[in-house]
Amino acid sequence: MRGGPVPGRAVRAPPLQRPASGLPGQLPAEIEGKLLCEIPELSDITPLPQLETETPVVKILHSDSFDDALSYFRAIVQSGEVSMRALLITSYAAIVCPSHYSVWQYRRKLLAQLKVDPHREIEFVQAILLDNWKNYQLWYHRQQLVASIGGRSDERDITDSCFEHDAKNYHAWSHRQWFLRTYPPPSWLVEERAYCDRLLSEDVRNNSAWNQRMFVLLHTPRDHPEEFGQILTAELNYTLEKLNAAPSNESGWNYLRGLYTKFPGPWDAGFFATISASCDALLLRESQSPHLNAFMFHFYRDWAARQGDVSIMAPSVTIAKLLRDEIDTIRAKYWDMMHERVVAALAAAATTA
Amino acid sequence: MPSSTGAPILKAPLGVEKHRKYFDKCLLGPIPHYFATLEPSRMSLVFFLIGGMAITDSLESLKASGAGTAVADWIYMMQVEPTSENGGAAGFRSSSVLGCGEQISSASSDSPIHTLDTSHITMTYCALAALAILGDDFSRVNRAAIVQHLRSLQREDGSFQAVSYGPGMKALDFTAPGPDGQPLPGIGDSEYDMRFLFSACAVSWLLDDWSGIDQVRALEYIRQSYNYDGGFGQGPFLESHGGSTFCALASLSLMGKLDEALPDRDHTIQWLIHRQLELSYNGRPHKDEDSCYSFWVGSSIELLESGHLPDHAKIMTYLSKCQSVIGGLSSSMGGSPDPIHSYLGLCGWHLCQKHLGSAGVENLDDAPADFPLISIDTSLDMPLHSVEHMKKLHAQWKKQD
Ligand SMILES: [Zn+2]
Repeated sequence: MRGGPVPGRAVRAPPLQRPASGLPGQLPAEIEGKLLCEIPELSDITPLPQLETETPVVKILHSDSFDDALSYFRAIVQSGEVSMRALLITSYAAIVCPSHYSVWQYRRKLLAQLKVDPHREIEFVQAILLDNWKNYQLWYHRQQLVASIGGRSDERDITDSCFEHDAKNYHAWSHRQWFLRTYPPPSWLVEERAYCDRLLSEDVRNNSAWNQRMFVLLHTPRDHPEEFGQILTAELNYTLEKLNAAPSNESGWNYLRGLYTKFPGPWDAGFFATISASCDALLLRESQSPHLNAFMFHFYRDWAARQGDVSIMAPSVTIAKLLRDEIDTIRAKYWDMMHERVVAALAAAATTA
Repeated sequence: MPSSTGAPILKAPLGVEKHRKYFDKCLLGPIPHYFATLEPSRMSLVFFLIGGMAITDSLESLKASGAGTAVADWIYMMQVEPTSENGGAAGFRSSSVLGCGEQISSASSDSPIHTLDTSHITMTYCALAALAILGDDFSRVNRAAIVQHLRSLQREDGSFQAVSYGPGMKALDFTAPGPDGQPLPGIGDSEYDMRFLFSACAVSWLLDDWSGIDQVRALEYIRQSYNYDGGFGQGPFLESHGGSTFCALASLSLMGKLDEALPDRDHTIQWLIHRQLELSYNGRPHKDEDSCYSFWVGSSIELLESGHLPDHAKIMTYLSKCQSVIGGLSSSMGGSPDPIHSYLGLCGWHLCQKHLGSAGVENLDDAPADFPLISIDTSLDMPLHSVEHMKKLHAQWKKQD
C-alpha cells in the first residue's frame, strides 16, 4: 500500500481476490478445470466447431479449452438459448478469449434477459481483469455495467488496484477518467489532485500521473479568476519543486510548459519571472541537462511570441547550439533546425528595427 | 566494417529472405495457439502478413503459387452482407470465430446469430488494404453499403465505435435508460477511440467516398484529443500516445486537413522527436522502446515533413537487434516475433532507409546485408504501388458513375 494521506478519500486499492464461486455464470467449484464437453448438464447441446476452409489463411492453432468453449458458444448463439447454462458457456468463452467483443455483447443480452444483478457481474469482471489488465473489451464491459447501475460503484477503487502494479495502464486511466467525468463524486477534484501527488511521490516520471493532474486542472472551474490564479500558481510552484529535485524529467517539463500555454490569463503575469529565476538557479548545478535546456529553449520563444518581442528569445541561440553539439546529439538535426529558426527570427527583427 | 580489434564484425545473418519466409509461413499457417486470442482480429494479421510479403517483394511468388487467389477468396468469405437483422452492417468480420458462410445461412431465421454477426471497422480497413495490396479489382466489395454503414458507427462526439449490432442486440435494447430517461452516457455497442476514427478515414479513402463520415465532428474529436504536450491521446483528456498520435495525424492527412486542423505543428514535432531514446522510439515519455513505434512515431514525423530529423542509424540498429533468428521481428530485443511487429518494424526500417541511403545502412553494425524494401505510404501503412493501384480504380469508378 502506498503511504501518505489523501484528503477526504482513503485510497483503498483492495487486494483483489478471485471471488468465491457462485457468481452469475461463474464456474461452480465442482466443474472447475473441466471442459464443457465433460459436463453432463450440457450433453444435449451439439458444439459447433469453427469453420475453416480447405486453404485457411493465418490459421491459428487452438488449445482444447479454447475450441471447447467457443464451439459451445457458437452453438448457443445459433439456437438462441436463454438460460443460466448459456450464461455459463459465455463465461467459459470470455475466459479463454476475453477480446471477443461479441461474446461480451451476447453475455450482456443474457444478463438482461435473466435479470442478473449487475453488481454480481461486476465481481465476475474483476475476476477476469486479474489476468487481463490490458484488455479493451473487458474494461468496456465494466463501463457498461457501471453505467447500468447509474455509476453507483466508485471506480476509483478498481483503478487504484490496477495502478498498484501498473501505474501507467492506459485502459485503467481511460476508465477512471470516463467515470470521473460521467459520475463525478463530490470533491473529486481535490482528491484526485492529491492522488496524483501520491503517484508522483512514488515515481516523479510517471507521465500518466502528470496527464491526470492536467485532467484535474482542465476540469477545475475558472469562473473565479482569483481562485483559479491561486490554484495555477500553486501548480507552478509544485511543478518547479518536483523539477528542481529531478530535472531529467520530460513529463514534468511538458507539464510546466502546458501550464502557461493552456491557461493564459491575468494570473500568469508573474510566471515568466518565477520560471526563469527557478531555471537559472537550476542551471547553476544542472547546466548539462538536456531536458532543462530544451525547456528553456522553448520557454524563451514562447514568451517572445506572447510579448511580441523577439529579443526575448536571444538566449535560445546558445541553448540550441549546446543541445545540438554537446548534450542532445541524438536530436542534432532537430536542434540545428531550431537554431536556424531562432537566428533567422532575430536577424529579421534586427533589420526591421 | 572492421571492429576496434581489426576483426570484421559479422553482419547479422538475417536478410530479407528470412523475413519473407516468416511472413509466408504465418500466412499459410498454422501459427501457435498463444495467438488464439487474436481470432477476433485475425483479419489484421492477414493485412500485416500480406503487407510484409509486399514490402519484401515476394507477392509475385505468392500469386504464382495460387495462394494470392486463395487469400482473396478467404477475405471475401469474411464480407458481411447487410441485412435488416444486422442493422445494415457491411464490411468485414475478423474470421470465422463466430461463424460464417454455411454456419450462418443454415441457422433458423430467428437465430440471434443474424443480429450478432457484424463487421468490425478495423477489420474492414485491414481487409480492403490487403485486397488492394493483392491487386484485387474490388468488384466483389459492397462499397456503397460499407460507406453507408460507417454512418451508424460514428458517435455524437465524432469518434467511431468498432462495431454495431442489429435490432434486439444493441446495447440500448438491454440497458435501462438513465434517471432522466436518456440513454446512459457512453453506451454504444462497442468501445470507441482514435483507432476507429482512423479506420473509418482509411476505409473512406480506399473506397474514395467520404459520405460516410461527418468530417466536422471527426475533426472536432481530433482537436479535443490534442494535448498540452503536443501529442494526441485516444480521446479527449487521455494521455498522448505514439499510436493515437499516428491515428490522429494520418486521419487528418487522409481528409486533406493536416495543414488547417493541426493546432500547433511545431509542438507536435517536438513531442514526436523526443520519443527517440538512446535505443529507439518509445510511445509515451518514460516508457520503454518498442519496435512498432519505429512506424507509429516514424511515420507521424514523416507526415509532418520532418522525416530527416531523427537519428536513423540508431533506430535501424535497434530494429536489426529485434530480428528473430527464425525471421520476423519482436517488440523488443530478445523477444519472440509476431506479425504486427514484423510488418511495422520493417515499415519503420523502410522510413529510415529512405533517409539514410544504402551507404549509411552498410555502415551499421549488425545491419542485414541486403535489404531492398518496397516504399510505403505513410498514412495508409501500405506499399506505394498499392496506393497507385487504388487511385487507378478510383478513376475507373468515377468514369462509371
Ligand atoms: Zn509494440
